[in-house]
Amino acid sequence: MPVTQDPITETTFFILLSLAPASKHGYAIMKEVDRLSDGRVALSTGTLYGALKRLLGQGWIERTDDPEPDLSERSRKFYSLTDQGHKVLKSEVERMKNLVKLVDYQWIGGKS
Amino acid sequence: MSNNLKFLVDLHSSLLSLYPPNFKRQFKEEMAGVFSDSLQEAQAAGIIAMTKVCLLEMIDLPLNLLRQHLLYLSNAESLLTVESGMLTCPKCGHSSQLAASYCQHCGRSLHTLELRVSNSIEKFTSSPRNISGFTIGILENPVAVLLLYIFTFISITDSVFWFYSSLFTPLGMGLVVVAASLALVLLAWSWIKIPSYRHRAFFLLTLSLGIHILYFNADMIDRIQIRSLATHNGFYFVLPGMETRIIESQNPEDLEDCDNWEGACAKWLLPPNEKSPSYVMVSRLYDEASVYYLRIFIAYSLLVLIAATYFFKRQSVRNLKPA
Repeated sequence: MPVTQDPITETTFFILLSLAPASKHGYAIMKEVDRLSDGRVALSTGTLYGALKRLLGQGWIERTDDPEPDLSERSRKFYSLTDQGHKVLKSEVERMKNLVKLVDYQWIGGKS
Repeated sequence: MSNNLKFLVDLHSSLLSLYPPNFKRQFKEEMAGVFSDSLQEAQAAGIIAMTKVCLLEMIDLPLNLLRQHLLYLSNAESLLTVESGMLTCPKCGHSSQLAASYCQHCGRSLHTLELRVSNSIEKFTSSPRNISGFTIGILENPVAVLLLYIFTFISITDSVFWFYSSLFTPLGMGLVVVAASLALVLLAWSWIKIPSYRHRAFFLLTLSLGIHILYFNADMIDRIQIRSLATHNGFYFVLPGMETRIIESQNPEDLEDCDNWEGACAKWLLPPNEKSPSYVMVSRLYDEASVYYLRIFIAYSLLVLIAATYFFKRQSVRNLKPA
């Protein structure tokens, strides 16, 4: 069964990408998405957590308690990619690579 | 934290209360924390950065609220679920005994048929997603289904009422009562027995369509109406404010038109035939009061339907046994 059939949205892609190296809490995800997109994708808290909720439901990410809680600060929840999430991200990257290949072949290759 | 910052964070927290209960329970604290962190960082960068953070929140808020409430209403997350033999409250998430009528934690009524066995993942994945997107999302919305109910119910009562009221006979009256009762039972049954909103909506649409094909097939209905009216001359079922006229004439232009009647009117022109060489104009005239009676009848029946549904739901939940 394919992991995902439709292209994922840009917001979802950046959230998954931000979680690829390591688990992060909500604010860190927001900052990372901002950095990765070069400031183009700015997430509000509602959009971020709406997307996180959906991804949790799809089983692409999981939510855990802070592995190193700091008692002086508020408790944070951390989000990390599941195996399925990794597969979805990989599949999306492959899809994008194929698109780029297609463009190279059809357009750039055609010019030369 | 400065007073201004604290005010903004408190205001944001208040606005987060507008989200549906399940979303608030899961994410409100985190969202408030993230907003606070964003604001504190933006404060260091200056007033423009702070304004940008606040504006982003305000612009996105209405759409996010709408999206989460639609998800909550759309058969996905407002459901009562059974996990490990306990009822899980859709409002607060606390578990109660299977026989419980109300949540012990938040007091929410646990009387509902929207019940299924689920695990934590399935609870999220049943939202209107992959099958046909937006259309199914609308059909799964309880408001849309309620409208379908009203549409179907009015179709049934309207057709039954107008058709059989043309006969002032015990049979005709009895048919009105029986058919209206059947309509109520059918709608209550569909609500109770068909668990999926999607299937229920499909059932109601099919029912409505069938009734409307029958009801708005003007030629057939007119023939039946005219025949019954013409052959039962003098025995018309008359509600207060309702009048039936039959006028015969050789010249159809002489026949009285009811278009200038102040209330509602329906007319049928019967052409000459072997038995009657004249044109016959049959008019049913209803003053405004009789239209109100019909509306009151429909409203009353809807109330009965809702009460019956609620009653059956209670019974059904009480009869549940642990899996």
